[in-house]
Amino acid sequence: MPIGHTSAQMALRDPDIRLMLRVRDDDATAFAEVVERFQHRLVAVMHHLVGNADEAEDLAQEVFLRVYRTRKKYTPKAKFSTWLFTIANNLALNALRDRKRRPVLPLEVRDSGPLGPRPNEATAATRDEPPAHKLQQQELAEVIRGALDGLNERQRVAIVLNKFEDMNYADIAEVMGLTTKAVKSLLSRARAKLREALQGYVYMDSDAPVPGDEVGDDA
Amino acid sequence: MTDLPPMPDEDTALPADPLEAELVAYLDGELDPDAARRVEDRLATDPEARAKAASLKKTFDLLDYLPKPEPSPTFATRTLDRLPALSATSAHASASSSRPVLLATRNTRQSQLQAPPVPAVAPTSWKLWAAGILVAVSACAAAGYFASAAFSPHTKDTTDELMLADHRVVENLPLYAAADDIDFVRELGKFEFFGEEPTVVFTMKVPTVEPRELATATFETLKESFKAMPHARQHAVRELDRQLHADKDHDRLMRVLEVYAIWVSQLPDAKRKDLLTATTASRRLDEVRDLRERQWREGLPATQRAQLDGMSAEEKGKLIGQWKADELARREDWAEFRRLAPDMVENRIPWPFDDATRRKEIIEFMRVAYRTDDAKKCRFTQEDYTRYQTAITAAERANGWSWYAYGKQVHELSRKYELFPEPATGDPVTTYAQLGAAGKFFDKEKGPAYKATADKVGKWPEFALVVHGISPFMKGERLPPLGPAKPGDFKEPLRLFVTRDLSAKLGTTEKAVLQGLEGRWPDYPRELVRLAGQHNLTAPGLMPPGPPHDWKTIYGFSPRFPRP
Repeated sequence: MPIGHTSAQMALRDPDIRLMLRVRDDDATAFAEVVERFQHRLVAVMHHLVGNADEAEDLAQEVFLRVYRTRKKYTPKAKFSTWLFTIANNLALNALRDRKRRPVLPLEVRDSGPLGPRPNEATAATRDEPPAHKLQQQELAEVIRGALDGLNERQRVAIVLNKFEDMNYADIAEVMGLTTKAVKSLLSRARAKLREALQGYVYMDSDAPVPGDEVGDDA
Repeated sequence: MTDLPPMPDEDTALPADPLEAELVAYLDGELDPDAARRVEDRLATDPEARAKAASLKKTFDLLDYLPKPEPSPTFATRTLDRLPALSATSAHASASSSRPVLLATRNTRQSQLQAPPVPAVAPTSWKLWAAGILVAVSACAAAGYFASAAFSPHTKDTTDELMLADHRVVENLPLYAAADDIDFVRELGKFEFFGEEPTVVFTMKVPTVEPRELATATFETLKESFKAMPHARQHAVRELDRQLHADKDHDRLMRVLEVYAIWVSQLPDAKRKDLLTATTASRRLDEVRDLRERQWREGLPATQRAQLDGMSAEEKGKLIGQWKADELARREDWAEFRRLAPDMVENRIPWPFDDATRRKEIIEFMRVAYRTDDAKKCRFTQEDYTRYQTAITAAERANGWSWYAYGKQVHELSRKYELFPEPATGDPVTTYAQLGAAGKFFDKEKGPAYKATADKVGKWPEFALVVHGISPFMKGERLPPLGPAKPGDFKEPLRLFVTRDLSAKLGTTEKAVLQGLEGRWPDYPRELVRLAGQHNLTAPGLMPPGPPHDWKTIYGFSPRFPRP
């Protein structure tokens, strides 16, 4: 047990916490610094969740504003980034529920591909057709986007945090207000769905570049 | 988190395929070692499971093909604009006086600065720019870190918007203007330069002065100065800013820069020009060093300066050297104390006593080497013995930092009471009888020799040492070896240590010197211990267990103030 877990000690360990404590004390420069430090990550995460650049920026902005508005109540308990993404999680889930931008096609419906109806989409190969080996990156991106959209909101948040923020289950659990067991279950379902949706697009014969290494490397 | 509906059952229920869940957790590195091993065993034997794992991994990796959007260039500014307007008063009202404000001290210093005139013509070389900038800033006496004005509508409406990152660079421009790069700053932070300046060293204690806001006009001036810098210089300054903010020692380095910048701005014009026009960072550091040296001399108390007056150049040099050495020693002591202070405050058990085994080893070492368990047989003086016993009793009772006092005892006593190896065979020399024919020299009737040695009889190594001390006066008498003085005569762990461990570390000259001393007591064992300490080795039985360098670092100084 550490001897004392005061704000001072946490601040000493985490420079982001130090920064946030200055924001709490109305230091506008510190807040600008917070925005600068986290804007890329937040906008990226929101974009992965909602699929739209403008909305992603709006949401990211809301997160920062909420950080600022609730600054007086901030007490450092864990990593600053965990706290930040907790706010992001709340806002994202609310947004995903409120904005019924498209009907969610359950992937269990087998006769359609993994794509939902979207305005500018190109027709890419469906699950049942053999994937063209020279699939353009953009088309692939849209296919993947569709696969991600096929997850429910919580699955999507968990996957995005796991993949793009490199969060471990414990941190995801904290951000989402779940147990690690629930996170494990959530991720496993999400990954299974992704696997079904994207299986056809994986080049097993390593013809095309697939980012990532051999099985087990990231274990 | 209170307004979200409960999770759909399908997410929390057991996954349709428990193996899948295990595989995913395994790929994410989230399984404990036993569970991981089970998965690995399964993967090794089950090709279907392997295929599934590969597929799970690769489909997950496909997510990397999603576009990675960057926030639009105006994202940050738009976000900040949505904040409630920050007025000067509202921003300062909640600044608490106990909070350590970065660079707050700058303002107390600034108020003491004169206001030199702002140069009318803009110089072209960056170095002269730096001088101009500093002068301009100090003239405005407003280089506070707080910059609400930077986000005011005025700045936003300029056609040339600075990127948000450059805001910070511009605000700090007075600090960066006279510095080369991060290595330069780190050098300045060493104690020969500005590292021991009070405002650099003392952080929490400085009372906060409400930071003055950076007036728009000042910010604009700085911004123009920055934009007018050659691109290479802009890049260097941005790089410095980035590296400083990424450094874990960031706060301290900023304080160093601040002290340095103020010091530069206070230099006489000619000296400042010399400094800023130095062509390389290392030449600039030399300039800084020379100027500081001169200032130090000019800053000596009148009496000391008077002392120097009557002296020849050589004498002056010596005396100054002495003073500087004293000052250096004091600063080093203080720095060491500051290093240990946190442990002291936290009542942590200091090295090497924080490990129970090592602790026992050390206590045992002292017992065997000095007979600390027996007041009569112990080598220490009565006073030293009492002090030792007090220290160990207090440490064992109170635990925590009180072991430090014991450690000091161990370190000091083991140096005060030299240890010499006892012979592998036979008894150590502690009586006249063992001196052979030369024993007659110490005959009771002979007087002085007897008097000098009588009270040491029976004590090793005191008797041998005092006899050795007298030996130059023993004309014609040949003494037998007073103690083992070559590896072959040592007891086992020591012999092996010398021939194997120490020998491996010695340079050719060292080896030659040591070998040359073989047979000479006490020179050989003394040199052996000295070399061991230098090479950070512990000669068994002759030195306390643990690396000598660590002992020296932690216990080798004397704080000149009471310990808790």
